[in-house]
Amino acid sequence: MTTEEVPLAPPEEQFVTAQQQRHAATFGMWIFLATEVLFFGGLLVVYSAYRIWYPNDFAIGSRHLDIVLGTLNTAILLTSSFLMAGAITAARLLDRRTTCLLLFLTAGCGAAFLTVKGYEWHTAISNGFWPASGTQPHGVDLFYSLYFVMTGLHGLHLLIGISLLVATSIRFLRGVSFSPNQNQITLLGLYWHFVDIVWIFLFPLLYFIGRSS
Amino acid sequence: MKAALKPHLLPFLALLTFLALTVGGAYLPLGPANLFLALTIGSSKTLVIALFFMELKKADTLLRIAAFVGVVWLMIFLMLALTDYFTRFPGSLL
Repeated sequence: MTTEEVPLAPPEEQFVTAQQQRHAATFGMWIFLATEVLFFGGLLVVYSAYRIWYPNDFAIGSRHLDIVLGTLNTAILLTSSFLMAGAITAARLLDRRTTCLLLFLTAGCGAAFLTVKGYEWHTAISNGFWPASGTQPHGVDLFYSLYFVMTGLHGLHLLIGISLLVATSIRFLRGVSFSPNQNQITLLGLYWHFVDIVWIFLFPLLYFIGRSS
Repeated sequence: MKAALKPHLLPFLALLTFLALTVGGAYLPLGPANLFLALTIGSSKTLVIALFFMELKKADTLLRIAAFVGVVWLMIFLMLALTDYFTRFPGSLL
């Protein structure tokens, strides 16, 4: 595909070449993503510690989650990443219509994920798994505290991603900043794929405990 | 549309295959190895996304280091915390 890509426009004045500008932008984004890894990492450490202390309660909590919905949501997010990658390729080919369409579809996948997640939250809360309800073992409370915080923070990241996707595609539709450099959409793609990766780990950690026994 | 999506089709299919494997693997009676299997498949998925969708395959060394360092710090973080939780009390080692 690279051979068909359109040559880059002149860079901002502080950069020597457009390649250098793109490199600086992506490097900055990767540093930001490294800090995001540590942000979610704190939760992973808490999760690991309590899973070691309360293995049976974590299995009880996990078995009450709907693995079919979890799998569906993972498939939705993987599809969204596929569409996002396509949007970036389309942008580099200067195909504005396809870019905007794929960005909207990616945002649609994100919205579908949040809808399913909302339904799962609703089910969990109606079934009395809201933490600190005082009716379940301590470890199950801890599992559901972590479940709501981890999926909640992940959902917040998705919500930010969806807003950025919609805002970017509206700007592109209006013809604003749709240039061959496409740093914005490249960075947005990196963020979106990162949020996908977070879910790839949350899914087995939250849904898979004690399924085989 | 086709030109935009086609280069990404193979990684996407690989990801869906990994998803099927990981869900199936959750029901295999492997004991503690279930977690290891799930995390290995999760890491494989991450590698596919990072290399192809996030273009680390085409990226230069600086970007690869930046990406890798995030994971390294997470490992240090986890290791330091878990050495404590695994050993704080006699008999708490799993």
